[in-house]
Amino acid sequence: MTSERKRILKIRDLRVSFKTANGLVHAVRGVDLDVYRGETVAIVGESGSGKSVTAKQVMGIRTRNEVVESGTAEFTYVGSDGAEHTVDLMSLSDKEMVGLKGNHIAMVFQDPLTSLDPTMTIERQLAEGIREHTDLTGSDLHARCVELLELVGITEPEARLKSYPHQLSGGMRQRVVIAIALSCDPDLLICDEPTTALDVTIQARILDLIIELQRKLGISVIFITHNLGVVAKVADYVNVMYAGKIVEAGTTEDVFFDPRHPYTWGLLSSMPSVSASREERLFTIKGNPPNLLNEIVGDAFAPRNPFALEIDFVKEPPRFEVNDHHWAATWLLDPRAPKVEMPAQLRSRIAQMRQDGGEAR
Amino acid sequence: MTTSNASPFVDEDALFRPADFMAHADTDEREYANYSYIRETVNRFLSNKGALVSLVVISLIVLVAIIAPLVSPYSYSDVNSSITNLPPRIPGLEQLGICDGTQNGVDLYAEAGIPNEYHFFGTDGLGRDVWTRVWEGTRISLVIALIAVVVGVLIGIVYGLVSGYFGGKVDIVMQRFTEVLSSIPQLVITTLLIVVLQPGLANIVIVLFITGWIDMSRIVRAQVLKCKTQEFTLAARTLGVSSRDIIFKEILPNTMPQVVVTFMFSIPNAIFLEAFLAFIGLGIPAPTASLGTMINDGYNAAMIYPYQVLAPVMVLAILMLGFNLFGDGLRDALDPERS
Amino acid sequence: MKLSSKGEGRNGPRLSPMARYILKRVVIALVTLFVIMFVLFMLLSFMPGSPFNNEDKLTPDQIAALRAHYGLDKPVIERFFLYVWNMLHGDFGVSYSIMTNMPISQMVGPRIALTLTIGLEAGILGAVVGVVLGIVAALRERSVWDTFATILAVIGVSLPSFVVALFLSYFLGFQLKLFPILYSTAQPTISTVLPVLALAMFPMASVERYTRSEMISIMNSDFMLLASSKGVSKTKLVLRHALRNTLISVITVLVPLLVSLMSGSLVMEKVFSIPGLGSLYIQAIQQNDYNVVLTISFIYSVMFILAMLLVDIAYVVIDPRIRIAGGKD
Repeated sequence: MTSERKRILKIRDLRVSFKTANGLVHAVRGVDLDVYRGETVAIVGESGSGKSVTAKQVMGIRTRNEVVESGTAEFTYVGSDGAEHTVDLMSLSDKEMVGLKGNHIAMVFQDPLTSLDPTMTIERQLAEGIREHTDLTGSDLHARCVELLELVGITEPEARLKSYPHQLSGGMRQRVVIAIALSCDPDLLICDEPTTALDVTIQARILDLIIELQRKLGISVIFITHNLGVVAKVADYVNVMYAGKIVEAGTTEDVFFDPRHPYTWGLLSSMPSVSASREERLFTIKGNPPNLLNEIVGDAFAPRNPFALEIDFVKEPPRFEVNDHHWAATWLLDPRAPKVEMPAQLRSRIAQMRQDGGEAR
Repeated sequence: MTTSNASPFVDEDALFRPADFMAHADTDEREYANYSYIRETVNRFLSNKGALVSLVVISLIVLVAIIAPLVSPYSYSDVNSSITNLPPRIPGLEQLGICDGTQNGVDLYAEAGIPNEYHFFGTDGLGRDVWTRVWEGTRISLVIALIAVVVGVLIGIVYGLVSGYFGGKVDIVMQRFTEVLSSIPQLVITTLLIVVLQPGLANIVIVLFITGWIDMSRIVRAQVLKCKTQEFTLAARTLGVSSRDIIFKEILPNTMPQVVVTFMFSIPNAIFLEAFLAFIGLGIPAPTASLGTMINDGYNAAMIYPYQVLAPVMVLAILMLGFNLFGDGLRDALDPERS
Repeated sequence: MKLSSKGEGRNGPRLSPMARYILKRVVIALVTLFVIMFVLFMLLSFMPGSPFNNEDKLTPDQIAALRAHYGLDKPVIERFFLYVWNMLHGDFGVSYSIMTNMPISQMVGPRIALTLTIGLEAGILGAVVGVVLGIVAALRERSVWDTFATILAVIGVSLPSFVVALFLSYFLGFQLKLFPILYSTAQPTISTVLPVLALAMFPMASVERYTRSEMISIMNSDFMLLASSKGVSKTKLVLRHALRNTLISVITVLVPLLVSLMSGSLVMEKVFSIPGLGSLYIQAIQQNDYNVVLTISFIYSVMFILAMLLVDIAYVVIDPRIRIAGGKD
């Protein structure tokens, strides 16, 4: 967080829709996002909030019925010539993307059980990307594969390389997927819910692995998840997404210890915690996310927001800066708004978290 | 900074007060009003033109098959040796020079002594009216297929439910049985059974459903196995709901889309099998007509009197195409992930 | 059923999963064959007619001698095993009515080759064209090619083989005179063009449909997404991952195609007067020559079971999931 932070990804006004039988679904409605070198940025939100769609734009992964309505994504990387290049990922052709994918941007997917080609050995799948972007062959290539498996903590790499995916456990397969993602030393790694499909015990280990690798290799990570506990563990920056928009963004400390958007309040309150007293009932956000088929007037969260103001139903809130690295899009921060405090329960919870977090860090 | 498109005449400052939720209560409902499974399914089906056209065509054929033999002046079985092999003659069209009952310029109707009669599709080698026979045959073919498929589907559902739900040894034995049964070519089973039982309406129906239930039982079993592990079934079981209730209230409704789709695809299958049996000489005995027996009768003379075989062949082809397209549409609509 | 579980139990621990899987398939095939022979044997006693053509003219001694020859004086179980023994040795008895007292093995022998040739030609033609069309349709989804292939597939799947055969012989044979409409031993190649084409329609159409939908779902699968995220070009993705996975699963639909080929060949042999197994079958059915009907049923079953076994084994050998883990589900 010093002045020499180097921005490697700058997304501006990203709007993406899906054509469906019932009409156009506006999945992403104007997202801005910045990623700096060596930092982890989390995007948190419920399913359908557009977090995954946003991240997939960076990889150029679009379904057939997907329409990018507007937006730029400037990506800065150091090419093989040693010079720095900046490209707009949104306007690259498929061919140009092929050169970047795997090489400079890599991705870890949600379900390791279906992410690997069932008919190919681990070695062939691991070597595939390396062959594409480097000149390694033969024993050098094999040595690199072994090295990668060791890097992601797989024992007996020689034997594993000869295996087929179905012979490995889910956690092991996710390690292979991570190894594939890291195989060409990417500048940016996108993790799309990388632990959601795994057993709870394995989740923690995979998470630790990602954190460890991120620190060791100094890569930038976009981490997509619906799990706030995961966010607290991995992220430097947090973007809270709701109904296709980022509603609050800031450092992890900002968002966890000084949340300003009522949706973030709701998310934090509904997070189960060990320290919460037993009598305390788990908070839930009432209602459902809005149907993105319809035009949304005002604040999308208003119908579910117990603190909503009349203006929330009329006009969309702009961003209100809390400090130079923290903002929230809620009318509650407008000087004209009545003074609304976060729920007392959450306040005590945050105090507790501060205490625990302080000890942990 | 994003700005909204709210009207500039609204006094914004006055709106900074806690919202009156009663006034906005409809927001939620409005947003979900046009979002339901049934509606989406219907929308998907309606957007499939092939399926829609098939539905109309099938309905038309069924209607004509019911009405035409009733209002026709001829009976499907009346043999008349003086009016054999007449070409088609249709009022209205005959003025245009087609279907006017002439062959090589000779008015065969006049020669046969019936200058004022109209056989829309002509007559066959025994002087029977092909139009009446075709629709009579269509009716019989449809009835055979429908009965066979309904019975087969019911057997298949029960078999699949029992096998899938009880699992264990019951399942193993039942699965081995179907495995062996499906390893015997259907052709051989059907042929042998008909040879033993002798061709006849009831026997053909029996033969059709004896081999027709296996696919359905497999699909139902697979669905049951899938449902069994899902939370709602586990929940019901934990709450002490009886096996019967779980099967009928939880599992069966969930297998319905698949069952309906398989049912739709089984009908053209059964129609085809009936026609096939007739074609190898194991059809319903004369004088009863079915599409298969008519094709079998007409095919020998197909090069000389093509219209005699053309009529049943076209009806059969359109029916098969229609049911297949309709089934496709139904599957896509009910089960969009699988298509 | 018992056999298979016993076999597994005894050999289970020592055999590789693949060998165990193949063994299981072989055992099921043998059990099926046994069941079929039992059914045929039972039917033999139900069917009208007797092995002796002119019983009334024979003396009781002659009948007794014949009964002894056919083993009819023995207990049922023994007779059944005698029957099985004879069947497996190609001794199918004699024809009653088509060619009186001619050994059936002599009647069917030369016909099997002809039927198999036409069936194989049609099957291979259909499968190859179907796979190619399916892949093109999937890769050019919603293009003119896709529409064309889809229409062809719907027609091919929906139209019964005899309808296709009638249309082909009427237009290509009778009207345009491109090909003979009847089989002739003088020109066996050119006169089998129409039947092979007509017979290939259904396998082509269903392979096309299956290949297309399988290819599309594989193209949209997670592992294709991961492979593409490695920065592999689309051509390489298709060649390396999609084709391989698609072809493996296409093998599974080959079994139902065998069934359709079998019934289809019957129809073709009738329409085009081909002296194969099917036309003899139809003739035997119409002339109540039950021994011939049973024999050909047996031959059809054996061919079917063998083909299924081959497909199953090919599948195991090709697909690593089964090769190593054993078992399909």
